Amino acid sequence: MADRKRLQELFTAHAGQVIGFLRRRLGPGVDAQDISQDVFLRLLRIEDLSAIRDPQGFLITVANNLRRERMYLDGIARRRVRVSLEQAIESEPELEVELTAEASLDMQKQLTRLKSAVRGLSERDRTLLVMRYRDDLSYREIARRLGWASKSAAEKALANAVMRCREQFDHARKP
Amino acid sequence: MSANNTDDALRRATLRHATQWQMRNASDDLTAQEKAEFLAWLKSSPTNIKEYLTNLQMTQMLPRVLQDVQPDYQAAQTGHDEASNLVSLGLAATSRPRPRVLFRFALAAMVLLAAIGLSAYWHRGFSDIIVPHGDQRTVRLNDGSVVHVNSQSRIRIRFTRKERLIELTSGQGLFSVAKDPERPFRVLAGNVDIVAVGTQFDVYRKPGSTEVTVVEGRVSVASSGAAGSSQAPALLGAGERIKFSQSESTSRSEAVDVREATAWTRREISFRDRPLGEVADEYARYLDVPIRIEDESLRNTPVTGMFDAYEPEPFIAFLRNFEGVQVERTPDAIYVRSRKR
Repeated sequence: MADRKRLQELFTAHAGQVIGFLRRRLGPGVDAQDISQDVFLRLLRIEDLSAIRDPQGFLITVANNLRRERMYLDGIARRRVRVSLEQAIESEPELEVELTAEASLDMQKQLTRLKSAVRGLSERDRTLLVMRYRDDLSYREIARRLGWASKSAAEKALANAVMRCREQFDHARKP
Repeated sequence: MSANNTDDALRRATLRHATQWQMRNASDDLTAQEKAEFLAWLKSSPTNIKEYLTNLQMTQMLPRVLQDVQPDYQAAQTGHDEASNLVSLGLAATSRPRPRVLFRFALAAMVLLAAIGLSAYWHRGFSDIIVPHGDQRTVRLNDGSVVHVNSQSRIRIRFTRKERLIELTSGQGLFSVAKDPERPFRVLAGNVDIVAVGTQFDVYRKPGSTEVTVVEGRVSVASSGAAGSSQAPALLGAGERIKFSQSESTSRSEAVDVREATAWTRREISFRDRPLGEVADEYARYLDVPIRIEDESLRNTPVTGMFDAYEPEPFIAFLRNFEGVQVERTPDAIYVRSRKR
């Protein structure tokens, strides 16, 4: 009971951060290839886009919602033979675990590919990626540490590094 | 420019935009104007969304992959961006096996399926293949050539010992010709006569014109005019298209995006800066209900995109998205109009 209360407190204290973090992440099992058509359709349905304050967060939320919806529908389809709808809803947490295990196997494969992609990059690109994505430095901070004149130089250099990384990643993905 | 290069250049351009937007979004000085531009960019094509999401997924995994990497600040500081020109010019850093292999594989699979149904035809001297509206068919001929026949098309196969003759009575076909120097492969599309040895080309008979697009190799194309006068045959290479129109006596060849020309075989409609009216007519070949654009200026509006040929919803949503455009669906047609002010 005390644990639960503590958890509640922790959550309240850090909710903003946690939600912010989740908003920046795509859930496991989002297949960009598969989901982009649906995301596109949802996006077009929004009447007033100017109300969106955080476009990227919004995009991720839409993608995550679609993924959850699909997982749920997939699970129902798979179990329809044996289980009633109510039971399916009840067993959803378990279902999610099962599907996440599948996703994590895929994740392992992707990580291996990404590792070899990163290995294929230049020392410079790799270092830039470390600074930005591992050490979470801002463009301004990266520019400062490397003695570059402007933060936009860092942004540009990073765009090139990410793009080259993506190409290596795609290359490794092909059979 | 070959199909692969064009395709690559397009994909890289999208990827470049996606990456630039991702970098911009991570910046603390993103303006309201940029936010609106980013959303507009997302709304212009599902492909943009796909590239953006894939990028996000990748960078999201990066911290785990980079855990044990020793950064080399010296290299980052002094090393120059060796391939920044690569990014802007769209030159491939790595050559990779292209989807053509996959495409071939898919084609082979379809051929197998079609072969079961069509084997009865092979034993005859000639045979007709009629593909109804909304359908597509792939046929393997007994010389090893493959014909992919589009919706609302009709071909007649007449093979002799001297030549392999196919008549395209209506519609569109993609011909992948098996090499046989002894027996030229000939396609007759009305008064247009195409001869190939071993190559791949697309013939599209439209109501007022016929287009021949070469995907691979070379073909020779000749057309006999209305008066029976024959022009000298034109030699066409990969990535070239020639158009014979009934209203013009001369024909000219132009460079085309081969991937766009053969998109139909992948059940896609792909268009770059094409008049909306033309795109809608193209859709009509696949859909049960036609898309009618009643406004002339709307018909001439250039559009760019790539969509599923058999699934109109994303395309309709795409149309709705245009400023001042109204879409109305009735059981008989999808009407696209300019909204009255």
